[in-house]
Amino acid sequence: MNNKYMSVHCENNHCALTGATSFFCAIKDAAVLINGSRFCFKQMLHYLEKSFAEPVRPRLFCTELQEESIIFGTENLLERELKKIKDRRNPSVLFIQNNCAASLIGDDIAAIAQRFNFSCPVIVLDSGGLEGGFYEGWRQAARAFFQAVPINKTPPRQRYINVVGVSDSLFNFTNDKKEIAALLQAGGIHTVNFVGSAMTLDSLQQLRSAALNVVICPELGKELAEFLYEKYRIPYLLTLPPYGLEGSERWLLQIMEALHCSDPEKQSVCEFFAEQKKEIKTETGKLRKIFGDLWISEINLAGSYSAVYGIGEALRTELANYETMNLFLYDDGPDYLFLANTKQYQRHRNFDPQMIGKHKDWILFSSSAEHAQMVQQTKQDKNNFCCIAYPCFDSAVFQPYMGINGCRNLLRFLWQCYIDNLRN
Amino acid sequence: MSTKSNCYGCSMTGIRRVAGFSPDCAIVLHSPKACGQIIREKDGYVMRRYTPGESRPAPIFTSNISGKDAIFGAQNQLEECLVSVIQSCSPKYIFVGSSCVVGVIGDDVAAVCDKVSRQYGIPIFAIPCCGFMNGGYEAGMMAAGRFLIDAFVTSGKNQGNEVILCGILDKTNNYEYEFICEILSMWNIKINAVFPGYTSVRQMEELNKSRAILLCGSYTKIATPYCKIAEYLGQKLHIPVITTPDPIGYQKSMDWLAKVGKQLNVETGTLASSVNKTKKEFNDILESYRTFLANKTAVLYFPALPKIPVYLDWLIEFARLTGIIMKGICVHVTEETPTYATVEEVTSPLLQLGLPLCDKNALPDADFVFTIGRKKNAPHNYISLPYIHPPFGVRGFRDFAELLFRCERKQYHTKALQFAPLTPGDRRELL
Repeated sequence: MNNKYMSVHCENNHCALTGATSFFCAIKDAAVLINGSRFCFKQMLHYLEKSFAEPVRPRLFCTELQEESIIFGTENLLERELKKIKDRRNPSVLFIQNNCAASLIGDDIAAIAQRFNFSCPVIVLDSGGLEGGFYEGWRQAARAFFQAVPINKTPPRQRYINVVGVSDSLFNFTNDKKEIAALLQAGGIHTVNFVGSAMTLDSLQQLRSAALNVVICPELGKELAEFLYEKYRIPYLLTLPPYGLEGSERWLLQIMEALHCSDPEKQSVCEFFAEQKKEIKTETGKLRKIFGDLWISEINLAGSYSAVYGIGEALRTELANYETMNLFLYDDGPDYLFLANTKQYQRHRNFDPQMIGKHKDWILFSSSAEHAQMVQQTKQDKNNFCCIAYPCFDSAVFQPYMGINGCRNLLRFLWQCYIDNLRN
Repeated sequence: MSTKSNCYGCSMTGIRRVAGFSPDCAIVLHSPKACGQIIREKDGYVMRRYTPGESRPAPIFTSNISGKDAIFGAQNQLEECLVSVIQSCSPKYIFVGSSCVVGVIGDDVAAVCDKVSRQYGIPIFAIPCCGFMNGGYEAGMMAAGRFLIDAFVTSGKNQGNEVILCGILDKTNNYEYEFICEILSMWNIKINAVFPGYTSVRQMEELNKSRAILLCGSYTKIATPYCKIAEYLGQKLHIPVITTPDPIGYQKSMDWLAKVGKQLNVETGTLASSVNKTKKEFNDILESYRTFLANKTAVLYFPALPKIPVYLDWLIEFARLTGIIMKGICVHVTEETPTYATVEEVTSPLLQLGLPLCDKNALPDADFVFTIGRKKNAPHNYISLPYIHPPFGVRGFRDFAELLFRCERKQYHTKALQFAPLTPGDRRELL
């Protein structure tokens, strides 16, 4: 079947409206006005309320389009909501987004907003499913923001970076963010901004004080990093996210290399990781004594390419021994992510449950949507699933996947699967 | 009269609910890709209960309208998508829903569906709504239901001892469905089908063997379209639609037994036996839980007006039967207006409960604070009320009692950990 019409996508599979609002809501005191139907607004709101720790509802407004608005325009609805925003909130920045239907009407949103003389920047964007999914929306929002808001020139500081292409709406990002921060701290690197998470206008004005932009999730951040390089000449680094110990060490050393850190500093990081590896080896050694070497016949990963490749590489090079690894990639990855040893993997474009479960001991890294398909197909619900993406409705995740603690978490899952298989 | 427009929600959700878990059907949404994802996950609880062997939801496909299609139209794309679905899935019929974009760009969805339908010889139902336009959720659901009834249901002799259930969105872990199944089984009455949502084409063709339609879940405005579908089906089959207040709580469950039993002409002895059995089950539950719940205090708290009218008579009855003392009701009125009803429509059922008004200061001291929605950092005494899917029948009653029991135990265990401070004398003894 041509799978393009039917995809149980495990990415952040909401429309661009949600992606864009996710970016805007990450800016402190930003207000967002959705020019669209209440249904679209509510679906977006449910999603964001789950992913943001702070309540976002007070900062979100909606014109609640009715049918007649499609014919007569949305001016009066916009004015009603803009008046509310003006009266109730003092936003640091105001974003106005059209959903699909509203974007086809052709109202001059910017001119309507101008009548209210907001003292903050006002950014207008056509959004919604026509523009794409979550990632497209986030990218468009980021670009629109940096096009509209000039960043002051500040001399770059050597050990300072921006982490670009992240979002509180990414699966498990709250936990992964702490790991990223810890890794950077181990390397003596300071973060100016996490662009996409917990931003303020003041901190964003310091953007150019960073010597480097490091892209975590290229689905979000690659385009933005290229734009910032074009506009402000901030160099950027695109590399696999920090999964696994060796992956985290490589990631950190690449950043330090890009920042021209000295050899003794890099050596210190290597020693730090050597210590971590020694600890983990001791712990897994105890398990090896009882259960033998870890072996998983079939490993399957499904999701966006950065997470799949990142975890896949960590599994291949350091975490697991296996016979087959299937990668189900929903989008094309950028060239830098083209892995040298592609023969080690079976790559597929869309998830197909028929291709999985050829071995008795198979494991699956994906969202709950793919897992649900596998449960339906195999009529079994074994403990062989690790949720790495939204939607997540049959797993509880409290630990990161990136960094050092992430490595431990992945190892715990792998060893537990292996032990369970030995017993059955 | 409600001043709220009936045009709420998205028609594609309505279609999804009619198609439900029907085995022979596919849903094609003429929409951007993301709409399909949202509609598929909107009833996410369906997927949460996705256990092996359970029915699969009807598959959803999207034609993936993009920006350029808004200019050039997307009819060809829809046609390709329909052909692809027919060739790959071989459904016996297809629902085609449209998003709001289609309403603006003006694709002739009906013409495309008609063309493909004639080409491949399978019914393709083009729902005449576009997202929130042309009637929204309710109109979409009604149209989908009518299409099925017109296409597959025929009048018949209505012999046999079977009934149709209408209004069950999801059978899995559904208190009302379980209760009805148990009672009908005691009465030796078979369920012919759950329509719409679980019915194959063959089953729809055999609906005419039923003698009545039992309408379920009619307590909530969101289920209004089911009432209309049931009415339409009843007219087609010339059989009665049995509409009874839902069996929520003890008294209403007893009333349901009496009324439905009478309308289905259940034999007196059989009916009495089922009533006694159900009564005993309720009493057993009360006996088990009263020890922990009696004399506990409770407050009903709404941090904002509910989005829909919320009927909580069952809660007042539950409190009375278990000995819980309802102290009052606290409603915090914000500027956010209810979604599907007027302010009066949502406040009226709350006022009718007859509870005195109280303020937020009463909340910390109450043993239970009944509220709606789940707060991320709710205090231990908060209980999230199951108001969208209330506790029908015996099992619902028991599960709600269990919920309060667990809340009571949590408070009991954590309070027991607070030690009295040591006096100087105690410290000397310890040293």
